[in-house]
Amino acid sequence: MIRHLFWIAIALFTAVAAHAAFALFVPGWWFSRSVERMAAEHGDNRFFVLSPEEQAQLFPGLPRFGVTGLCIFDVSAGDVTFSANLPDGYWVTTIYTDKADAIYSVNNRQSGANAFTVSLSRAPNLIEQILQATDKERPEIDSGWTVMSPEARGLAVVWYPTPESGLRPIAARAVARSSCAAVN
Amino acid sequence: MRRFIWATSYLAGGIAVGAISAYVLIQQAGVEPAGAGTPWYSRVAALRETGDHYVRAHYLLAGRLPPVPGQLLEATAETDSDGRPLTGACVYKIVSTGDLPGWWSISVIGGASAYAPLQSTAGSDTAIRQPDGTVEILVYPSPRPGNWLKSPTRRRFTILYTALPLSGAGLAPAFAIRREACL
Repeated sequence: MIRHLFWIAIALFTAVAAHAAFALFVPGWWFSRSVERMAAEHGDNRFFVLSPEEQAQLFPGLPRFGVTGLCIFDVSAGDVTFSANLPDGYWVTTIYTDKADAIYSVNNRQSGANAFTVSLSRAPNLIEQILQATDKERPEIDSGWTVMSPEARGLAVVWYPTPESGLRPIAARAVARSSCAAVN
Repeated sequence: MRRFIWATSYLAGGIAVGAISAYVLIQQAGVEPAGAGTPWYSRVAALRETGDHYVRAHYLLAGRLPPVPGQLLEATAETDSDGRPLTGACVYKIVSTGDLPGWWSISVIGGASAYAPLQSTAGSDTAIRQPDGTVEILVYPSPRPGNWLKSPTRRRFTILYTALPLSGAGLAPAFAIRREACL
C-alpha cells in the first residue's frame, strides 16, 4: 500500500511538472517553428506581403482579402529599422516578439502619418541595465520611434483591410513599399 | 520486472495527465461571453486585462498571432441568440442591433472552430444597409439577394466577427443571430 502511495505521489509530481513544461514551453516552441519556416522562406529583416493562405494561418479572424505585411526581424546582431510607407486608410502596425507578446502597436489615427520609421533594438538584460545605470556614457537614442524587444527575434506586422478581393493586389503593391533592414 | 512496469505506468500516466490538462486549459483559457444575453464569446477581455499566459499560449499553439486589445475586436458565435447551435440545416438572419464601428467583418467558418476553413465574409465596406441604417445578413447555403453569407450544408459552423473597437461600446458585437427556418 505504501509503495503504491509513493508511486501515486511520483505520478502527481510528474503530472504537475509535465503540465508546467507543456504550458510554458510547447506553445512558444510551436510558434517559433512557424516563424522559422517563414524566415527560411522570406529571409530575416526583410519586409514582405503575406499570401492569403499565410495570412489566414497567422490571422484567421481577418478577411482574406485584406493585406498583411510582415518583417521577421532579428536584433541579435544589431538594430533593425522598420520603415512603414502605407497607403491612406485604416491600418494597424504591431510589433510582436516571437513569443507573440505585442510590445508596440499603432494605427493610422494614432500615428498621424502613413510613413514612419521604427528603430528596433534588443532590450538590455538586467545586468546590462545595472551597468548602463552606472555608466556615464549612455548610448544615443534614435530621434524616431524606438522599440526595444526583450527577445532577439520578433515580427513587425502591418495589416491593411481592403473592401473587396479585386483591390487586394493594388493595396498589396502599396503596402510593399514599406521596408525592413538591419542597421550596419 | 513487474515493479519496473508499474513505475513506468505511473510516470507515463503522470506525464499524460499533465500534458493533456495543460492542453485543455490552454484551449479554454480566457473564453468569456462578450456581453450578457448575446451568443458572442471572446478572448479579448482576457488578453487586455491579464495578459494571461494560457490565453497567449492558445494563440501560439494555433500558430497565429493574438489580436491587439484596443486595435481589433474578435468574437465568435457557435449558437444563435436563443442559444441553439448553428447548423447548416437552418437559415439565419444576422441583424445589427446598435451602432456599428467604422470597420467590421462577419465570416462564416465551416466548422465548430475558428480555424476551420472560411466559407464567406461580409463587411462594413460591402454590406448593403436598410433605409433605417441597420444591416441584415442572410446566412443560407445558396446565393440570396442582398447581404448573404454562405453556410455549410448540414453541419455545425461558427460565425466570426472582427472589428475596430467602437469607443464607448462594450466588447459584444452589435449583431443578433436569429434562426429564420430550418430546411
